[in-house]
Amino acid sequence: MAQLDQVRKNYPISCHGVGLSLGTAEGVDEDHLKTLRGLVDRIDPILVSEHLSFSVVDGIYVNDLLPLPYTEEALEVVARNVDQTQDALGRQILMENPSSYLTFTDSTLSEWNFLSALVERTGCGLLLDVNNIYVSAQNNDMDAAAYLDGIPGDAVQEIHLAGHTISGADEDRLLIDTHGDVVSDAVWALYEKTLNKIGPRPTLIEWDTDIPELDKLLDEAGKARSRLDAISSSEGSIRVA
Amino acid sequence: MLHELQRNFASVALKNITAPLLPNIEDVAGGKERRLGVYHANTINSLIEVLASAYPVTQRIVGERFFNALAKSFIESNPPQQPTLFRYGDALGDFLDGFAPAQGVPYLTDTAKLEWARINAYFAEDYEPLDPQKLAEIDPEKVGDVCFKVAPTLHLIESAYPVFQIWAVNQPNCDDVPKIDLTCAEQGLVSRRANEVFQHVVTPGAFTWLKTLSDGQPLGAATNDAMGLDRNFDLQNTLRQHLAGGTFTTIHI
Repeated sequence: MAQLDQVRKNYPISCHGVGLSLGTAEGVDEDHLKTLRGLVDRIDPILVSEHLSFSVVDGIYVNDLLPLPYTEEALEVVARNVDQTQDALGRQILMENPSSYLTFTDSTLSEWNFLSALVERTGCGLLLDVNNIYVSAQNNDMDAAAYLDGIPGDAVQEIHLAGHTISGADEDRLLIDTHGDVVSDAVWALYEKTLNKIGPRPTLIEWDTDIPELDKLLDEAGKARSRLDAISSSEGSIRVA
Repeated sequence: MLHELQRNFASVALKNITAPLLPNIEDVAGGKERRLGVYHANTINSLIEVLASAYPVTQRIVGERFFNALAKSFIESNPPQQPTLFRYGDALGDFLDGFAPAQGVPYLTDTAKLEWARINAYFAEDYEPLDPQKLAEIDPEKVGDVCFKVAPTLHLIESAYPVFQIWAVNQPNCDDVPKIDLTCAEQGLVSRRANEVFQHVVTPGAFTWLKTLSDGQPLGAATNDAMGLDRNFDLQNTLRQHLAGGTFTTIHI
């Protein structure tokens, strides 16, 4: 914690969680929420974010961001959990779109309509993971352009980029979100589209497996930076999220 | 409905039981099982990684393949019950005790427990070491009644095996593992100063002394216990070492 305090003295911190399991039907773990509240009070992060997914079932924590069916019932559950979290933290949180490998037969809403409704109901913001949009779109025949059109751009306050790997070929082609490689060209292109649509946003390159030399990571960050700069100068000013 | 679906999904992720969830998944080229398999692999592999990074020495002793198999078996019977994964795996030492395939390595449980003590020390709350001046201010007549609060990072480890040596010779930079006398018992401590976890063996007298003190008994009683075990127990020196080493945080009478 002392190290984090030191970082906080010099930089704003975006606090990104994977443990709240905001899609869980059984409700948010109050102890975990209390711990998070302590952290948020201490480091006063500029942004706090979580995922549109679930990880907790009957008190067991599955260490993965499992997907939700996009139904009215799920929307009610997530909205309730997000409300509870925002109340407990006394601030807005951002919700991140997941990468997905399947579609539920139960789903009645698209992911972007689900997220839009969530923003409307809870006042939460969005963390847009452009790699996740691409991975899910490729795996599940989802329309990435429609996705960008469908989300409320003003609600997006942070963007994530990451690498994925491709398993299988042709019909069996499956993209796996690994956070362990450079950002693919297709994702850079989708990132540019996103920036054109919603304007510049603080962007994070996620790389948490097979972590490369720092230079390579800085290279990736530089690529994001140049795209952000291009958008900012074409807009005449930097929009601060 | 959602709860039921989530239960079924958890069975996929943790146990690769796919049948109950299949009706909820859209048909897809390559088969739905393959898609669900990604979630199972992500879950299990990431939890194995969590355990491997908490128990690098245990992993090195048994090898990666054996470790992966034992980790899978552990995860099945001890899935995480809290989202703070740096706390996951605390029960591995005890699990190994009853894990039949590992019985040929009798010191594995204690080695794992030493590794877990290091994790606990690392994540324990920060503390201020006791200012030795505080002890000097106590009326000399009453020093025997002083009780010490030990650092939240302190763990006392006692084993019938030389676990501290076993740990030391199984570090990544240690290519030639020297012969160790496995019949030699060891006692010692694990703790942390600032961000650095450290560990060392202590004499049986000092170990007893520390154990009595950390149980909340006063200095006099702890010293008696230590002298009872080891007539040569050197109080002055031991106390000085542990004041310098940050073993204690506060005192009271």
